[in-house]
Amino acid sequence: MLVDLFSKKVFNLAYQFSGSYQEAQDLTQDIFVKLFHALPRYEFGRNFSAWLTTLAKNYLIDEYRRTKWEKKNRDDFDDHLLTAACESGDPERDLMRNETQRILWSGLNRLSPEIRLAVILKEIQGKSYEETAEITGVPEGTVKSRVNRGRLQLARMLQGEKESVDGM
Amino acid sequence: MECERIAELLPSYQDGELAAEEKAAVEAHLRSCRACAALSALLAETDAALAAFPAVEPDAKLRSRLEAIAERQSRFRLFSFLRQPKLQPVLAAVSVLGIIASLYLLNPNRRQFDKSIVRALNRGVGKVETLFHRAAGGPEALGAYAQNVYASIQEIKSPDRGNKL
Repeated sequence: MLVDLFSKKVFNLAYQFSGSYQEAQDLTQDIFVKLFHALPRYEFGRNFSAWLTTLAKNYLIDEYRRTKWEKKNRDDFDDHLLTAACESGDPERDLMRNETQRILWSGLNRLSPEIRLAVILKEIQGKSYEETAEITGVPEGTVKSRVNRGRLQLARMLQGEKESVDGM
Repeated sequence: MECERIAELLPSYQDGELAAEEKAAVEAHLRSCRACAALSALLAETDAALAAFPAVEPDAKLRSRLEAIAERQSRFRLFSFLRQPKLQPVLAAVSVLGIIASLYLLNPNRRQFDKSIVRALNRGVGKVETLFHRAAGGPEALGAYAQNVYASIQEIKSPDRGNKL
């Protein structure tokens, strides 16, 4: 039942954070092993989803520090993500959006792990500042500052990419 | 310098979280600075693209691997019950008793061992009996001793004692 409810959620968090489909599968498996061991410590009445996401986040950050993923490249955006992207019916608009998402996808690797995680939780997964603060274990103001810095950094990367394309 | 300060405010401006004065300053700057206006537009594009990021389906093989983990965990739940810290003294005591029992039961000279135990027990019983008999004459001896002690105390307490000394 836990697998049915949360495997996709955990996998997507791991995939967006690591940028590698294969790596995300291994990370998801490790997170579930950790989850089953940690279950007796879960306090009933707590938000289970937030608790699990905190556990996943801790594991991802620990693994990041251990293996230094920033040295590795992320998967190309078109490997798995393009097939999952929904179409709006306007091919030109879809193409432009996919191009923007491709740049942002590789740009996520250039954010620090804390900022990347805050951006993923708040902007991609659509969590509130309050939920993101609960998951990351930092005050709401810190989350807001991390998300804003991440958004601005990504927008500047987008600007840089577009300027280099226009300059060609 | 001004552009840098305005860029820092852009995310909050886009979220509508700036105070009226700051909002007016940002808007005035955006009207006059093309680079910052372009960055503001790209920030909006970034937000929209991030929000539309697709959720990916995990591989079917991963699912079956996760289900296998869940099954394995439920099988070992009994062992996790036994691993509780509060049960550790009990398990330690059971282990020590088990070692003692195995040393006794697997001893090749068990008969001699049994005999020596019986002999030791008999010796112990004999000693207890001897002590018991000795103790039987005790109260009388103790009575005489107690009387002497009492008399000595009375003598010390008596007022004439000082004159005698």
